[in-house]
Amino acid sequence: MSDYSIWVLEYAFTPDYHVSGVIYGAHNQGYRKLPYCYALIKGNGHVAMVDVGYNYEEYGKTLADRFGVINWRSPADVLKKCGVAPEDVDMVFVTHGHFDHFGNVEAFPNAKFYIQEREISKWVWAMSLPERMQWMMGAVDPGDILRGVKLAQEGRLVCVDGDMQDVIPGIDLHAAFDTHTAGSMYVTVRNDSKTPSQDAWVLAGDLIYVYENLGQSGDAADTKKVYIPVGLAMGSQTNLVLTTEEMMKSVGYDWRRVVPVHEERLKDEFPSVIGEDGLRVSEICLAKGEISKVTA
Amino acid sequence: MTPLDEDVVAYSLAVSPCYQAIRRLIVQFGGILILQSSAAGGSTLDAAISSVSAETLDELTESLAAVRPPFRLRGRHLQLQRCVEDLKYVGQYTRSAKLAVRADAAMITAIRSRLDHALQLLKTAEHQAAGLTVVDFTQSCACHPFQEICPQTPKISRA
Repeated sequence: MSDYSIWVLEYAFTPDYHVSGVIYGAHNQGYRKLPYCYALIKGNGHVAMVDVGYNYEEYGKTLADRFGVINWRSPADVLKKCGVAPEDVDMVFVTHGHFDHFGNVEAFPNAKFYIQEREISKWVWAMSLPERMQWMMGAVDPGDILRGVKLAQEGRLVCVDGDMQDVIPGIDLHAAFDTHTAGSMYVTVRNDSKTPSQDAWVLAGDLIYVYENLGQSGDAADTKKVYIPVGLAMGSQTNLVLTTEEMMKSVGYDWRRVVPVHEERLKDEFPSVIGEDGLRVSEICLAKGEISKVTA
Repeated sequence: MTPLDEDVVAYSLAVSPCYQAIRRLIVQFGGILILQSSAAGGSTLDAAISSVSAETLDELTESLAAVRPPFRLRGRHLQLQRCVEDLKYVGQYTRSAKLAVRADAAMITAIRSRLDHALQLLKTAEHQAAGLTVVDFTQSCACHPFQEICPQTPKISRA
């Protein structure tokens, strides 16, 4: 039986995201729905999150008007579906510093946040470059950085330098430098607490957007199973492919155990429910004694 | 979208490099404070601090002074100039007193407060239609980058 329950919780979505953003080289292949989600991990006396989404007050109108991101719901409303309140969350693992992952820290007043030190130091470096190189500086909100200063002062921001095993028992942080961003990381939940684990789950952040990145096109005739990296990378697609191999190896090449939170087809692979608000909860696994949140 | 007046467009084009430089400096200083507060390694912190020079701030002051805002945008322009004053204050401390900053939580609070103030001023001077925005969404999970960068480009048909 598992130590931790894991849910992927949708908090907003955009109906029309360009496919080339999520799959490298998929030019002129139109658009698909891109859900915005975070992951909730519960067990061993902890309530943890992987990323915290964005703050509607800061970006909601802009995102809706300019980019078609709709249906945002607050963490209080979203987490309630799993019987949890934002105040219950004691740890947050920030996969990278983009506003839609690190943009709502104030909603979690009792949490300690973990982020790679390199993510911060490389943003500082990138911001020192001339404006003509601004491509490398996108998606960072100065407000998030200043809220990070406050967290650091309060002792609630931990800058991790590389991998960190057992941040809480059975949960590991893995650095994935120069991939989607300079200091990205992913989270492994070893649900049997063993190393190597026979029951591991990888929460991939934006290192994996969709199943095609894992070589799973969904087309039965496609037998090649070649990893195709995500389209958006401040680092390199080579590093993304190498990281994908690391993640897949850690779960015994069982691709279902690498969980891409932006993947709409999670609902086809895991028990899921779509609420009256039109947002999905996908139940990845349940800890001993935990009651399902997606079955009646 | 409502067409912008020519003087607004001209001003926005002229001031945009300053606006973006202020935005970047706020992130740089904020990042430095995070690294200091979280006791990051010495070389990482030194590299971060040295990425902001006094000349950068002086040049920014000069560039901003050289831009002439239309009368109705003078208030916005003044906000940007006040931003730079805040950043100069922050720059002095992060460069010359980094060890003290590491040790003195009250000083970090004072510096953070100036950065918060600068960010609020920058937001006040935001003009989305003219491209002066605090957050650049072009590398995020929310963008249609090509249309955003080249808005005249026709959107391709959907699959």
